[in-house]
Amino acid sequence: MATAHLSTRVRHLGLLVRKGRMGNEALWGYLLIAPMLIGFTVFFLIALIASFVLSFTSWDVISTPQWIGMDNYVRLFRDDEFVTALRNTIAITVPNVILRMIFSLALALALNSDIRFRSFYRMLFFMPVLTMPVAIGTIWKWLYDPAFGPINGFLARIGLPRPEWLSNPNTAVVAVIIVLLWSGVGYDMIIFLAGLQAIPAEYYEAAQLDGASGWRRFRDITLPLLTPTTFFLIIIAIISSLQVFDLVYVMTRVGNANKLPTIVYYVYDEGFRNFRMGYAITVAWALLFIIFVFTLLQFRLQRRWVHYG
Amino acid sequence: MNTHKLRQRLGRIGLHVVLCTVGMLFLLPFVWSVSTSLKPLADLFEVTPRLIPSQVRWENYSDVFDILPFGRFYLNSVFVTAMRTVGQVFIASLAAFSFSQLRFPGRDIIFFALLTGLMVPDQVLIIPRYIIMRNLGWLDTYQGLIIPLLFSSFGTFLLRQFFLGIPKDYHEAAKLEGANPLQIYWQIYVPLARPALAAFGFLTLLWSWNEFLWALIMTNRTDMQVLSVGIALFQGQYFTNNAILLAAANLATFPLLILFLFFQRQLVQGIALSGLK
Amino acid sequence: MNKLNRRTLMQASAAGLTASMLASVATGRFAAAQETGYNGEEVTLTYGLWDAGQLPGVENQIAVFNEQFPAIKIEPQVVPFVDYWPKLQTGIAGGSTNDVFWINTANFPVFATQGALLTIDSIIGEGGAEPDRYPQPLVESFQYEGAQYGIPRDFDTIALFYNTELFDAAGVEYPTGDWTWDDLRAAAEQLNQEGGPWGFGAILSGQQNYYNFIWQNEGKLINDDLTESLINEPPAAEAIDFLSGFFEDGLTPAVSIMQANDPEDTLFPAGQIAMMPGGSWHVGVYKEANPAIRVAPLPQGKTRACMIHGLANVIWANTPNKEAALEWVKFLASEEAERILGQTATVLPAMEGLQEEWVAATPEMDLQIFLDAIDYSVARPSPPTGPEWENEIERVLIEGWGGNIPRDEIANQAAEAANAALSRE
Repeated sequence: MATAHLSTRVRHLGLLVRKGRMGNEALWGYLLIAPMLIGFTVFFLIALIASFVLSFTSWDVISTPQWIGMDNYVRLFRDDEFVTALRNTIAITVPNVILRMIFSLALALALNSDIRFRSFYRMLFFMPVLTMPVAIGTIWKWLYDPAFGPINGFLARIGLPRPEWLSNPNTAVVAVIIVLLWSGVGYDMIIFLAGLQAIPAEYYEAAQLDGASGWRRFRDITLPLLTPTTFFLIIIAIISSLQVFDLVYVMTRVGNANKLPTIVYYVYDEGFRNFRMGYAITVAWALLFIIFVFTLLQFRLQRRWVHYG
Repeated sequence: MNTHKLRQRLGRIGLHVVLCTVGMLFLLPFVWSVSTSLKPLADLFEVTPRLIPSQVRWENYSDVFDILPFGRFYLNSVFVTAMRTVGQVFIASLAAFSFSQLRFPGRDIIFFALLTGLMVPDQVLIIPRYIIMRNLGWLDTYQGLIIPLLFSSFGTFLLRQFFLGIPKDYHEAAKLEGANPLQIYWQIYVPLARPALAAFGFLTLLWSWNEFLWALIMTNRTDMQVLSVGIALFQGQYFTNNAILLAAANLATFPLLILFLFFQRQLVQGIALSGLK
Repeated sequence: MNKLNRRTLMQASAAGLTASMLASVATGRFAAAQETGYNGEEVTLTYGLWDAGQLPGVENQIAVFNEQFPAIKIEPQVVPFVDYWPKLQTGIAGGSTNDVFWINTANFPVFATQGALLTIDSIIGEGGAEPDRYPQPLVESFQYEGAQYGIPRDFDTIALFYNTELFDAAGVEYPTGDWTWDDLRAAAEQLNQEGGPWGFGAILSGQQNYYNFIWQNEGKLINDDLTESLINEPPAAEAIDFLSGFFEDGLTPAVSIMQANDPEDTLFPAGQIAMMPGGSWHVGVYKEANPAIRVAPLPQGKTRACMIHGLANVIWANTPNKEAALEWVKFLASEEAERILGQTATVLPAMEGLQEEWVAATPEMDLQIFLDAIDYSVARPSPPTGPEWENEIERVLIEGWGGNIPRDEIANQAAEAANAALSRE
């Protein structure tokens, strides 16, 4: 029988495996990550190193790069526009990440429970992820329209002042965060749902037999077992928030200027519109440095609160 | 009805009310997108958009196919996305399994190095990557569109977290059986992580379907264009007929809706401890 | 043709190239166009453009071209306008881009000064492209260091669009060719209503709005060396202040409103603005959007002026198919090709005398105004550092008109920002 054959083979293999276990495991380890690693090196790492070299040049893209040493980095430290972009980016990131985690977890919990129309609701909150950026940008620009939009229309009717929303950097930050939340929760919700599904039902059943309440079950089973997923989502939220570009490109631009430039917007502007690609790459590396350090910190701290099976 | 049940009932209704109200906001752009796609040109110049078009113009949808070879764009997108999704899920899950379950020197450092793939905006690397593609002769080819995008740091990270969350008992039991890591991966961890794999697969599919920059830079010939770039072609320098643009966009989004319904079924309880043989 | 003849021919045309270039530099006039040296081999040229709406016209041009040159295949490749420039730059940097492509006046200098384009002097003259038949400001826009790199393909000028319904409702006389700045201001005041419809649309575009006013006041944007902005000198500063007045007095939609609602795409055709300066490309859309819209010449200040802008077909310097590309560009500059453009009535062909179809396509509007405007048109000055200085001026004006800079400081800060951009690498 085929299965008997297979199990004999496996047992033979097992003997070999147990003999040289450590070395063999390492070999397997490298083998299984090989495709990812090779592709990553060829199609990403090489380009990344090339870009690092380019950050030491002055390059208008069309002609050959000119070596200028540390000039770009020196310039970065005195660049007001960079500081503005950095400030805007952080002002968006901090509230966005916190609120996003809270809302998407709440949503996932609600839509994981036994309520009716669960599938319909999941679809509903996932819609923004499926909607085209042009539609998102247009509709939200109309909503935030200071003269003709419904938000200010409503505020006027209840006697509140009407902000300029996207035209004023301070209110624009709030406006952008709202849209980011709106378009991001569906995405996170999917991953949280997968994470919730991965918690074995038996744990809940055992807890219920012990007489634990819903809140206790949530606190002692759900939350801890969800921490790997939560950790992932926080890191992803921070990294993607620090790189926000599409939304500010569509919503806060007026003419050729931008009321709320973010770092990646600044990179794009300097590189492709002002023909200063060398400097643009320098700015991108500054961002990479920030993200890298921050993520490293998160990984070190995870031992304190992330609970792995 | 006792007070406990009543409170529960009211709580449920309250939840539905909240979900529906907030949900309407989530549906709004989609509704606007469909409504605008059916409008005649004259309707597009209004300051306050109206919900019902003055005259429903179904021809906008057929115009899409008349103006550009939209059908070809569709085929390209389907092929490229299918290949990318399958490839990414496979490669990332293999690596994630290894990073989470196997031990080898430098494992955590290599993993963290992979994460840098998430930390750089695409525009920065586009020119060096373009040069690499040109040297390989992969411009305007399917392999050029697919292969460089098969290596997802995001997926590796996501699936590693999930694999780490699976109780170690499974791995121990399998090792005692003498199974090699590839078999453990394929026969045990893949089935157990089905919700995560489905989530990652679906999100990758979405990302690939809408991916724009790489397709724009890598392809020149019109017959190689994918939907995301094709739709952008409906934008003129000075004027865009938003109705036709949105008709094209909706045509592209529609299959994703159907796929989402299918994907939801994958979100079933994955792990049953009693499966431990 | 045997090899010896071909080589001699190519050597002769190479010599001819240098001779004609010397001649053109010396006299500014071209004698006869040279042979391109194309030898009939099978070639495929890629042709880059940014407007899918123009494809039918381009296909017609290709068909006619192929009657004479069946072995040269032309493959049009459309890229959306916004993405056109990053993609072009990436292609040039990466060593592979379109053989022939569109370029506009704003971007031309950067590409020309960095050596990304091929000169087309060899095909200029009798039997080839004739620059005399095109608006001179545009022809000069595509020259660099005495050499010609492109012949204008299509052009646009600026006029004053107005909404007859709003004029009738307010009982104001329609704009005429004699209007001055005072007339414009007075009419705007009469037409204006708080919260809309506004009397005038002071749109945030140099090309369509403020450059024209500056030139009408005999002001200058930049000095002749293209090194220093003169926008803070009295004539230009006065023009800016004239427009600032509209914002301060609420005669134009506020900057924040124009950010949320594009005045050209939405506010004006929707009847929320009574008068708005605009480019000739709006005609096709406006006649569908709102039948009450008409056209008048821009008002005059101390003089008449409006901006002319156009795009040209240029050749990539490193194309492997130089000869075939020159043939294609020579054809595109010919009367035949321009006539095909004219017949589509979508854009204004740059060659003189071929605009009748475009004018006739919209009889209710007096489109001759746009053609007459060529006589007093000015092309944008384009320093080799690129359009950044213009973007900086625009940014400062937007801040100022949005109320974030004191009114009398706006022109000074604009000049400062422009000069900073001009002196940057």
